[in-house]
Amino acid sequence: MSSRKHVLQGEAFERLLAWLSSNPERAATEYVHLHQRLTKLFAVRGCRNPEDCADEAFNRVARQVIDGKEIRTTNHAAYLEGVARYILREEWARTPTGDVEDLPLERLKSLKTSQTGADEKERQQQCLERCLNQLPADARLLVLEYYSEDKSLKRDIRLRMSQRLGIEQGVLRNRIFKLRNKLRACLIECLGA
Amino acid sequence: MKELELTNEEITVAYLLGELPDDEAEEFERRYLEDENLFQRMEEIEDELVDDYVGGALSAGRNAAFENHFLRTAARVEKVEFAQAMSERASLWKKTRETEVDDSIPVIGPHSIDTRQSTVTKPRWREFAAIAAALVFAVTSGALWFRVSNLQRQLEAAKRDEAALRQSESDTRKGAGELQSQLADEQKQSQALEEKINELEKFSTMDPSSRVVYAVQLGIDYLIGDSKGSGPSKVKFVVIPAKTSLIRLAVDFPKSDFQTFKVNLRRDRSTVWTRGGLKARGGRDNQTINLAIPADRIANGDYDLVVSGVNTNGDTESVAHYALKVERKD
Repeated sequence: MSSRKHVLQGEAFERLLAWLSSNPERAATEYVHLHQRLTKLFAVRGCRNPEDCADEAFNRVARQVIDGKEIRTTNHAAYLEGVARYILREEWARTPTGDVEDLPLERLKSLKTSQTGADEKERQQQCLERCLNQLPADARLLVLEYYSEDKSLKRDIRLRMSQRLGIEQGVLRNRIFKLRNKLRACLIECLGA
Repeated sequence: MKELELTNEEITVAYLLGELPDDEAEEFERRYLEDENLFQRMEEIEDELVDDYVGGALSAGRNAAFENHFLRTAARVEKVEFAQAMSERASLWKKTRETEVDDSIPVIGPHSIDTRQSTVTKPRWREFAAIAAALVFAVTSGALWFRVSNLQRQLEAAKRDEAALRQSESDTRKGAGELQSQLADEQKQSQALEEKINELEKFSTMDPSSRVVYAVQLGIDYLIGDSKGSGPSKVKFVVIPAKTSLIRLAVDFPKSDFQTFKVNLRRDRSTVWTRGGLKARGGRDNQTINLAIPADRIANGDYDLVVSGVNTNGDTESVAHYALKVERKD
């Protein structure tokens, strides 16, 4: 993957967007959404750098468009899926079976053995506290309650909470999802500051 | 319908853990590539799966699948780290709450000593004994009072939260009795409204008028203070077109031995955007990191972009520094 050009620029990017839609803004939306989904697909299927793999899928389509290949389908997702499968096969051929990215496992081990530096952990806790305090009180309680039960599937916790609060499970799940994303983004920003 | 939902959830979990047969996985991928709602639900289920792993709720088999199959990318490890931090914080909160429930022991203070005079005639030794007992009681009470008040201080924050929750629940209960049916209707409307807001949010992100991707290349020529001691560094001028929502920035820098990198985008010495666990791709001399920065984080002005290498201990070392001048065409 290292020898590939990963970021489309200029005409190639414009042509790719034009392939996605004649409306450039709609095309950009489509690009962002498809990129996210392809990244997920590559992550699940063991691509070492899922974002790069997704970039590569778009690059290949852009090259085909620039080379004048007529792509007849209007189902862009399906076409990109086909390209993604080729890239995956190349990835699997390049990466021996079972050879997963070392870094996350290293980090996981360090999590499990609590090798994370005490200072770093303290800073993380301080940041988390700050981020939690930025939430409204009811949202803060909701997320704390959700995370306070171990050894139970979150699905069951969510069921109990939704019954008690009198709201649909789906609504609660979506609310937790948004709060989690908000906290995660806040934590990353705080730790980076 | 609920059974179908459950099945979908199980399929999603099985897919994320690599447990689905290949043909079923491909079919599932086809579906979510075309279905925004399914993809959104998968994102939610993935986060719950991470929470379940951290909470120790997964079976041994699924735990192994999670570690061996799911936990492959730095982004997912970051999710685990976050869930672990949240879980620790929440269990502390839970303990504090439980202590508060145990707070049924009356708060004993000096004011609680009964100083009323008895009208019944008692032998003098009894009076002395009573005074001594009262003194012992007062001292013990004082000590207890200090301990309890200390505990109370620790509980103050939790009580404030509890009060907020009670207030919230109390508000919800308002209108009971005669207004109960009306409240139920309102609740339904509120839920429907919330679902509608969720939908609108999805659509707003898809609104063409707010979605444009803009790609920028930050080449090695713009590196500040490179090791070769070349001439004065250049400032990269970035003109962001109107309606841009995402900036895809490719940052080049000299090759290093670091496995992962962290990027900080700063303005006036404050971080406006940061991302860690980044992998760089590279040729013989240079490496490149691709970034996707939400455009709403970038205003007009001067920025510093710092790329740091992260070693296995988590220590960082700056490997590249760039200056950017941003002009928005909004």
